[in-house]
Amino acid sequence: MNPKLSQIIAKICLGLAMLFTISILIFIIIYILFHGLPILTYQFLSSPIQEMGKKGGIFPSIVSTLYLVITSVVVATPLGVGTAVYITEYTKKNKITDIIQFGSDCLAGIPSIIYGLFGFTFFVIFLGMGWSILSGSLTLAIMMLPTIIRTSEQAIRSVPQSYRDVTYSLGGSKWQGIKNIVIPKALPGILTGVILSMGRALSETAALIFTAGMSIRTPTSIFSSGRSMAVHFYTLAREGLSLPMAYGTASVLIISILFINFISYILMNQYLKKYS
Amino acid sequence: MKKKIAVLHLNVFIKDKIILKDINLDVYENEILSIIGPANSGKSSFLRVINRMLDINSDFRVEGNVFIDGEDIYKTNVNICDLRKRIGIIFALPVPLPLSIYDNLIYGPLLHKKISVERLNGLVEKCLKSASLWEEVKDRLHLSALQLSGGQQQRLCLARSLMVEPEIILFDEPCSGLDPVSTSKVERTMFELKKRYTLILVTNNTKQAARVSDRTAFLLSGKLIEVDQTKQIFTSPKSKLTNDYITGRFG
Repeated sequence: MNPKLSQIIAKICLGLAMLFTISILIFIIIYILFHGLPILTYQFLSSPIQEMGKKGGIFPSIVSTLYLVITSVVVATPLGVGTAVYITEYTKKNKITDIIQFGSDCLAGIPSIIYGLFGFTFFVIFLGMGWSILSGSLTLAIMMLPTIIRTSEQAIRSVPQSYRDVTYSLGGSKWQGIKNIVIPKALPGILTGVILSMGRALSETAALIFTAGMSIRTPTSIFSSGRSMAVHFYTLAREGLSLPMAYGTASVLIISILFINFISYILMNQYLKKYS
Repeated sequence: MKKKIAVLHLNVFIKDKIILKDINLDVYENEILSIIGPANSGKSSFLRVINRMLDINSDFRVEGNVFIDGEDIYKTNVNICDLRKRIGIIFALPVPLPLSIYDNLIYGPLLHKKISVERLNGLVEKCLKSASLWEEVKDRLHLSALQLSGGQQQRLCLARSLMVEPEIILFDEPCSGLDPVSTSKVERTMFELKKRYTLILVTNNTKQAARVSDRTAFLLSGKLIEVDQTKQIFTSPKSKLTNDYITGRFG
């Protein structure tokens, strides 16, 4: 085949793959929003869940979701970034770091229900936290760690060694270089990881049913049980309680994910402008 | 002239490979000593032994002594951060941090102590003037340092080193990425700096060594072949190897 023809065929195939992927994504979003948007009223967002979700709104689920996502991010980010900094800056690449690396990659692939089971036996039963936002958040945090560690590690490794050398050459310590130059420079990459994992936390169901419980009351603290939007959606759809309400909940979920991505995209652009 | 650095029987190994062999060399206060030699002759490693940057890639061993102001810098109780503060280094490629010009400059001093804004501003002006950059950037100190030209970036890095008030400045092929005009600016700055600092210049450009340095050392495969007054080295070197190298008939 002549190069010109194969070039055209390759371009068409690649383009079709792209088109296929994008159209599935757009179809899902439009389908959900088409069914869900009519439900979305102020009433829906602000009322308590009534009759197991057949009536009322999803206010308690919104509050639970916020609690869960914020608590898990607050717990997982320092742990994950700390681990990544330690691996990249304080250990040399050897067998042990390879094993840590491999282990954390494996953790990323474990089905969430297994995390749920672990969270149930460890946090809920063994530590006696009961079905609560706290148990759920800690379980989510463990699930988020591999993503945060992986992306932070890549972001930190991509900071040139010469930046670190500048700090050394001015008489600074390793930690000063990490704190002042390496982490700020790697921050956009680190944030990408945090946002990706936030998406995972937002959409998690299996692990949360075991750990945060299914209570339809509005949680008053992180020690209350609570039902996240994803769990609520699952229950509505699975038990055939109310499909319209399920689509309404799904729409709120999708819109919040789009919103988070949009905001972080803007923040990141501003940050990048300042730092380069 | 007063001895600033004294190197005695220095052997350096990196990953058990010998990089520098039995180096004996003195550097005097307020002189420019240039070190010439082909690639892999150990020139850059020599600089990194003096400011202990070699310690960063830990797999190394140093035998012999390096004295700075009579103090052995490889004694166990030496404070490496203080040592590096006293010895500035300019790298081959300019490394401006992704910050504003001003923030690049104040980065060094703030690593060590809190300083008032007035004193910092005074220091910034003084160091930029010493690096002959003040006139070019005084109106845009808060612009990103990455927007400067290569030559300006290199002089900014020089000014940044001066900010921590070093005594010795090491130049590791500082002009290898610069055009002739920027090169001559950097060289003129070095002449000025020599009045207050002790300078060691590693260069691949023998002409540069001849132009700026007081004395020149020739390194080959980790051995110090010859060190003498620059004039002497470039007119009648004692070793045939030196002669071959400076006349470009090497190999």
